Order: sequence, then structure tokens, then C-alpha cells
Amino acid sequence: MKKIILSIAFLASITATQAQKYFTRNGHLGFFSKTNMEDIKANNESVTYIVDWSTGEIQISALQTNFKFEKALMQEHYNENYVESTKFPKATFKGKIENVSAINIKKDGTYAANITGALDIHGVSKNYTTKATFKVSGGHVVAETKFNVKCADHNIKIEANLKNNIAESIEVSAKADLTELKK
Amino acid sequence: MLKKVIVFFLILIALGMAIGLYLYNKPHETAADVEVFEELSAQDLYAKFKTDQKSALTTYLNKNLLITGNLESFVQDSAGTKWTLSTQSEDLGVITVTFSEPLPQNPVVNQMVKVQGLCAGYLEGDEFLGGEIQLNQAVVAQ
Repeated sequence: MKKIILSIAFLASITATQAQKYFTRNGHLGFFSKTNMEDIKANNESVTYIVDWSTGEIQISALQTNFKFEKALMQEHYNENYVESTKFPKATFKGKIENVSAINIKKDGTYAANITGALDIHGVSKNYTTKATFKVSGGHVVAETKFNVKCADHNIKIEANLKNNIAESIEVSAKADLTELKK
Repeated sequence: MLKKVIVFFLILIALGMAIGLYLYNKPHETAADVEVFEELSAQDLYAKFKTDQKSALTTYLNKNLLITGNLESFVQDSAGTKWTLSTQSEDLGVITVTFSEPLPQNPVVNQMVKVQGLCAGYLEGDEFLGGEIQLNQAVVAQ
């Protein structure tokens, strides 16, 4: 009898943990480089976001080869020369919503959040802090943020002859429409 | 003689510019442009990544794969056309296939489909979500 009760309690705890998780596999990550010479942008619409509301943990992962550039040649250069996507196929962010208790996912509204965590690009991990918004509406949570990343911080080297074409600091934008993870 | 040398260099410069312009504007490669590397079921491909991600990446990254699987869902919006194939795994692991161009008609879900796409890699997910193999620049296989 004791074993049955323990099993039920265990299953209930798993279900409760799951219910706190929201996710998408169709999230957006984009970056934008602005210089006097040219603007370069790329977007990835197949990004996985997982948010655990019970702990505030947030996990974002994207494949480098899924960043789409207007020009195929730029995309080739990005993957081969800068992020070396064969060697480092993924970009990941693992962090935490610091004020997760202030966000009520059961109540529609827009909530401001502070996020801290480690961004791993090109095999180099660096800590970032950013502000984000979580818009709760009808069971969906739309998360959005923007922050800047310096190429040099992730050991991404820009050739001297292209320094005027590629910004030292790149604006990164993230947006995801999250729904509850149900198995 | 000088005239011939000048003409030769002008032709060389024009040729260089034409090649540069072609490379700058060359179209994105799709799965239809590349020879198929291997034909697999969605289930088998997922099992290979799940068992040994490193080895599977070495074998399949950027390769054109011909995949047969059950269509779980699809999305067709401004971001493009994306199909999700079931992997029949215990977790919620899937193969997502992003097409190079919008498809003329919507597919029927819960039917077997055959697609070819360039393997972009694998995202682990977590213990509940399972992993995801992404195929890009895909086309429906005949």
C-alpha cells in the first residue's frame, strides 16, 4: 500500500513539473549588424525555447546552419569563416528569470523580467544580463528580448579588410510563442 | 602590341567582375541540387542521433538525406513551410523539415511522407521534450 502511495506521489510530482514547462520549436533568433558600409541580418525560425516556470530556468538552442541570410555567399562565410558551424553546430543560452515569481502565467498581462545566463557561441561561453517581456494571453506566453553581443567576446575574428562591413557589436533579437509542454 | 595587352587585361577584369557578381548573387542550394547521401526512416535517423550524437553528426551534418516518416503536423506561414515527422520514440523527439519554397498545397497529417533535406544538426531538448533533428532546404521526394 505504501509503495502504491509513493508511486502515485512520484507520478503526480512528474506531472506537476511538466505542467510548469512551456516551450516552442518554432522560436525566432535574429541578428543585425549595422555599419556605414552595409547592413547584414540573418534569422533563424527553428529555435527551441524551454521555460520552467517552477524554477525560472530558461533554455534556448539554435543550429547555426539555420540562420538564413539574404545572400547564399554570406551564409557560407558565416558558417565556414566565423562561427565554424561544422565544429560548433549549436548556439545555446542557459539562464534564469531572476524575478520569475512576479510572472503569473495563469493571468493575462505583460510582465517585465530580468534574465541572466550564459550564451555559448563558437565554443565560447559568456554571461549576459538582459531585460525581457513575457506577454501572457489565452494560454500562450510570448517572450521577447534584445541584447548586444561582441564578436570578439566569442572569439569570432573579423578580417581586417572587412572591419568596415561587419559591426563589432551585433544586435541579437529573440522572440518565442510558448505553449505548455504536454506529453 | 600595347593595344592587345590592354584588351587582354580589360577582358580579364570583366571576367573577374562577372565571376564575383555570380558568386555574390548565387542562389541558396536546395536538397534538389545535391545527390542523396542516404535513405532512412525517421525512426532510424532519430535513433542514431539519440544513441551517439557525435558520430551521427560526423556522418550526416550538411548531407542530403531522404527520409520516410509519419507526418505529425505542419506549419505554413510567412516564415516558410515546416513539416514535423514523428520518430515513434518514447520521448517527444521529432524531425522537422523546412522547405526551400512554399508548397502548392497543404499535406495530409498522419500519413507517410517522403522528403529530402540537408541535415542541419540535432537539438537535445530535455527529458520530456526529446530531441529534434532539423532538415533544411527540403523538397518533397518523388
